[in-house]
Amino acid sequence: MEKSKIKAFTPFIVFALLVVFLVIGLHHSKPQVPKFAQHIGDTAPVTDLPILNGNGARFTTASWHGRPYMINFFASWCGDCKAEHEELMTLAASHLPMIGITFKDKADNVTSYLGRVGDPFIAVAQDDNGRAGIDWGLTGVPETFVVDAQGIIRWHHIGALTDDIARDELMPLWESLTQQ
Amino acid sequence: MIARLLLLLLFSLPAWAQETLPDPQQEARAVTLGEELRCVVCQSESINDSQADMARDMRLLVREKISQGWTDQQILTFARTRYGDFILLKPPLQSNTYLLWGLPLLFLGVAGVMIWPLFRKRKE
Repeated sequence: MEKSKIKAFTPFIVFALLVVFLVIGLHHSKPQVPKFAQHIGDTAPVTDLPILNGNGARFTTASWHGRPYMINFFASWCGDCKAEHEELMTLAASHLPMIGITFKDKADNVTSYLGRVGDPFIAVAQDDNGRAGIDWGLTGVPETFVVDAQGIIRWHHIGALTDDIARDELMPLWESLTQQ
Repeated sequence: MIARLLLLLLFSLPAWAQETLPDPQQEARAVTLGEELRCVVCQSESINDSQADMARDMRLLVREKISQGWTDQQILTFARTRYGDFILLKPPLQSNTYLLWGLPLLFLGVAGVMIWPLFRKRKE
């Protein structure tokens, strides 16, 4: 009698366990963790792009070997880029060498955008067809990378930078890279 | 009238019509690859299904690589080294996905073990 009762309830117990696991899974999943690769610890891709209003000058990742730097993919048409711009200006004031890469944008639009909001970049390179972005594993704009003196990607942030992220993640990393 | 209708049809072709490769065999490969690659913006759609700008870029990229003579495997590797395994809509069978691929079989086995006695009883 007892044994058959247990048997009859087994499917319900299994189902209840499944529900418990699913509920735990739902509450412990972290949607903020990017699912695409971030390449932290990988060598930065070889990028060679024309510099905005640079009269033929080019930005290459190779020419930055030996110095840490930051890359910020942005576009004049992107709302989140405008949202993080204040933060970029603050970072520029603390002498962080930032290279801006315009993602699928027009030179005229970028020039007037930076003229309007201020230019925090030491150089702005143009990724007109978005191919360099794909090489960096870009999923949209803005995205920010930190590359160390050895050419290794040390940080990758998807979305707008904020004061908190700059203070808690970016600046401590940057200080450790420049003290090496 | 018919000529006008035909003209209208011509202009109402979907946007991807401009992206197709002239060689039907190559185009078929591009379509198959497009089904396997995840759109990096929408994440739940393949690059074939997605209307996102970046999905279109990826479709063009796939076709460009095919016409340059790349193999399907080379193109998938290209995408995977940049975006990781998540770019593949069908997860590869490897050490960290054994559980994912094995669970359905495990469930089937457990269900079988549970159902088996019921069948035996009925026969008796």
